Amino acid sequence: MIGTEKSIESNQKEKAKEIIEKFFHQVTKGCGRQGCTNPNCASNPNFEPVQNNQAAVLAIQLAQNKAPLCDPMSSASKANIADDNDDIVTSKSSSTVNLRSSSASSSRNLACSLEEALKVVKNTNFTTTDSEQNFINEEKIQSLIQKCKENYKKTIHEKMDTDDLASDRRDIKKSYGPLFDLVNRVFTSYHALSKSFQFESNNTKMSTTMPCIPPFNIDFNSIRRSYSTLFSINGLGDELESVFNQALYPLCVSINLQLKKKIEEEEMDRILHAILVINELPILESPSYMDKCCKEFYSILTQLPAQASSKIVNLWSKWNADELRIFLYKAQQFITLEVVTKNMDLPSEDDENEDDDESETSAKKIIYKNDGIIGAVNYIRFIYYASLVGGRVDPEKQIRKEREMEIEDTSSLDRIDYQGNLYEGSNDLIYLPDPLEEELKIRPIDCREPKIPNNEFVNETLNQFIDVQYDYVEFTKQMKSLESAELDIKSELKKKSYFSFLANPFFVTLGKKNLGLFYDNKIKMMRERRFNIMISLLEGRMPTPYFKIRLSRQNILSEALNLIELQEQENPAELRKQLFVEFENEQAIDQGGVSKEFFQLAIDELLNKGYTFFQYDEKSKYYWFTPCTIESQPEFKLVGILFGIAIYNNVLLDVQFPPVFFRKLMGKIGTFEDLAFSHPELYQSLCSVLDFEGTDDEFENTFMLTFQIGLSDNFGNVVNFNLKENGDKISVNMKNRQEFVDLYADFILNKGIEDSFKAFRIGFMKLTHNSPLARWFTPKEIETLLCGTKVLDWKALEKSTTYDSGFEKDTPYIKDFWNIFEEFTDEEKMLFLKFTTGTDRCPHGGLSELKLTLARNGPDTDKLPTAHTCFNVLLLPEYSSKEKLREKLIKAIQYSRGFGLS
Amino acid sequence: MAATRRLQKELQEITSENGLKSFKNIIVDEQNILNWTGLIVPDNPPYNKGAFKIEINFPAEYPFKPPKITFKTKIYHPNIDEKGQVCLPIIQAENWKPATKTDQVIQSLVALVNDPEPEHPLRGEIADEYTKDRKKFLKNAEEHTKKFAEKRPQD
Repeated sequence: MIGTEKSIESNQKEKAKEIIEKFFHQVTKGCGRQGCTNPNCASNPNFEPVQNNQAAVLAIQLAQNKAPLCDPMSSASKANIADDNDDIVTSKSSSTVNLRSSSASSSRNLACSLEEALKVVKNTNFTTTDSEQNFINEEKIQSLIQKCKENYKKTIHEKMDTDDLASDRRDIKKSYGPLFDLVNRVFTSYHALSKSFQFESNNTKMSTTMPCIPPFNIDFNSIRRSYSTLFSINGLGDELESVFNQALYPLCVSINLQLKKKIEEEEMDRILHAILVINELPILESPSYMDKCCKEFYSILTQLPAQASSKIVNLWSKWNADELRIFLYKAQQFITLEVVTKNMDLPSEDDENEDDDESETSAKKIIYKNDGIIGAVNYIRFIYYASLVGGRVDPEKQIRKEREMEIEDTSSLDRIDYQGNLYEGSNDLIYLPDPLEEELKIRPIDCREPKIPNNEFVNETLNQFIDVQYDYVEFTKQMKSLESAELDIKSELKKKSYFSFLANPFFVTLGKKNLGLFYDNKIKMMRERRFNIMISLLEGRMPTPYFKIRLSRQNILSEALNLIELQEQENPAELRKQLFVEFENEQAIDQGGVSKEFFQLAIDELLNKGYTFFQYDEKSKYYWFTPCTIESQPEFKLVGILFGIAIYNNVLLDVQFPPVFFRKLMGKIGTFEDLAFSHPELYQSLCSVLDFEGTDDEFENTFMLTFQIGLSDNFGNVVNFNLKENGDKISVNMKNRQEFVDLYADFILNKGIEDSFKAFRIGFMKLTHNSPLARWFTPKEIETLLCGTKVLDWKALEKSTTYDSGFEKDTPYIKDFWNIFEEFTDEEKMLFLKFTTGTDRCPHGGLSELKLTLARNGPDTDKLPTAHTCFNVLLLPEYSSKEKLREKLIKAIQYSRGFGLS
Repeated sequence: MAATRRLQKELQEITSENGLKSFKNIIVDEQNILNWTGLIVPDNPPYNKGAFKIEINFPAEYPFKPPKITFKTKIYHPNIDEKGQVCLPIIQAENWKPATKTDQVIQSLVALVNDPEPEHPLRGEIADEYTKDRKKFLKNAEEHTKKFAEKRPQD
């Protein structure tokens, strides 16, 4: 239920974005109809052309007011008009030219205003003696407003001619002068702000939605109340906004300058206090602030060092998700608008081929020059980490154990010297931990359930503009600058700051990240290839630019594993070349297709041909490592390498592993919670052991369990394992049942498969270590990279379905049924699957493996259809009409929602 | 074996004086305590004319996974298919509770044999016959029982 609500919400966000984009287009370019009558359309002859900045503001206002929106003309009708009247074409093209020049001039304007602001900053004396009184709080604001209101009333009373609007504005300005004065004084100095809105010592009621933690002493509720009183004074809005605008911009600029210097911690805390007070200002969202103030404010966050950043993140991590969402949406909206209004061009194919490192104006780099966007991404980064820190994080003990394991696992990998690297003198990137993550002691993977779901952090609009190739280069520079900072701490202040979206993977779509990984792999492949060609020229050998596997069609897996083993021992660098597969006596040249076929056949053998690496769970439809298998560790390592080669060469594998597999691959430990997906039957039983209510005696007599468990191997034999020493002699009782359950889960997911999984993982990491895999992708995304997204073939289900008790393939009623089924939404089809089979997961080998049976269950009735999930049988009464069949089917599958395993 | 203790106790309870009246001649595989066979002795017509051999297979993970039951004797019943498979809710994976004892499972199986549930049939044509023409059903089932069922054990 929650899921659908959220998707509606994000749909609305999408829609709003779209509408603003449309309005923007309308006021800048027009709908294209000559003499359009819409007063807010550029095609209307009476419409006064607006500049880009104004256009953005106007577009938002129009969208908010739900102003009429012209239908954009179809290209066909446009062409018609163009034929009739050449003027339109020329006027249109000239208007685009205008737009270009206007955006250029607006950036010039910005430069001017920046200079202006700097002057203001220089003239402002921050260490004024009366700074003692320079602060603001709720009480002060309330009493001042009261005074000003009385002033205003008096003035109005003295003058009777209230019709004169201009004089009324003057009166407001005059009456509220003291208030404006205070705002101006406080909001131009972070010192003053840092003294503002502190908790009154005797009144330290903590907010439940926005609590405050040290080093801060800020009463956020009081801030919000004050701001809301301020901005709800009648007739004051515009004036107040402009007072804030004039104060805030120079303040943000000055903080930005301040941050370039080295700052004592206390002083930094003051700046942070000021940032937090400004951040609460509702007007930051208002369109007129976007261009100057907001941008400058966001870029402060880019400058904050990790330690200071972590203080804000830690504070926000205590806040309610909805409070954080407000900030998140604000920043997302800002980014979207920047992208839309700055008239950016999508990176095109031509751009990528051009060698335009010199041309700074290249469209694709505009987003990298936009401090506002970069700042806003950093701001979102804070919220992202707050959402992680404040979410459900794995226990500290577990994380510590995982780190130790990681060091052990990777130690054997560091020794590989890739020849290509040695030859070119360039090494693989070393992925140092993110400084903010270090400071917060958290990695994204350590958080089971963030406060705000990860997908809300991705900005689709901006993602369209990310040029992955360029971004990847920036990313590598960024990583290298981290590395050099590590070597020489002192140089940290001098280091150039780089920005790449890939360093903020939470913000980037899976598709873009995947492309980044593709580049990363390609670069490594090319490096090995160049070295090989070089060396073979020197030694007079034939160059072998590929990692060639030549196989017969028998025993594909064992032959392939042998070849991999050979290479791995002789020269592991070989594995990092591009894969090239040949089948004996076959002519086909591997351009990806043969590799794909090879992997398909090899995986099929791995899972089905008598090997016992993995076990298939009928219920969960997942494969899992066979506990205490007869396959040896070196074999598992080779299989791991095989999987690594697949991801390295961008080949999808047709295997189904539970989520915990990918978590473990990324260095996590499996826990009881993971069992719910990997071994749902077992999980459910263990839960009912934990839920049992009764005495010790009753418990023991009911379950009769010891700390010994039985499992079946791949051949159906029973194997027993002691969960602890002498486990077969220790009874499970009410007191130690939690221990039993944890040990059981630990055995299935970790201990029982420890040696094989470790070997597998080390093999996998041979190709993925020192790649951005772990840094960019969540375990869920790695699943998609390795196995793809399953597109279910519903036709295969129909084809493989059998009929019983009077139904036949060609019965008109059955045809009706499949007609109805075809019209189901994907969600309804999944519900149907769950209703008839008890799980919404597709079995290995596709839906045809389900062997669904449709059985007639009597004549027309008002009862709903039922199902035998143990045999995948749907019992279908022969309803009197197709409509009734549809209605009953939908009702039945809807009712089944919420039951079952996952 | 991990499940041995529990299965021995369950077996003891079932075969005791107070145990199940309608489940007889229980034989446990000497090599493997996870395999049982026995005779179902229904009380209601048309099945009270004979006994039906069933096989119970306990999984290695018992009691964390449910046992499987198959009829070894052919039976004319709306809820039991030609292969002897039966869909018993109590041992369905989604419903299984490790606290459930085998005697409860067998009781629910016997109840199903005695009182068919034609609303959830595995064999639609028998279910149809059962609801529409009970006489014909009784006749067919009785003939079938006489032809295929085991002899009822003496008390």
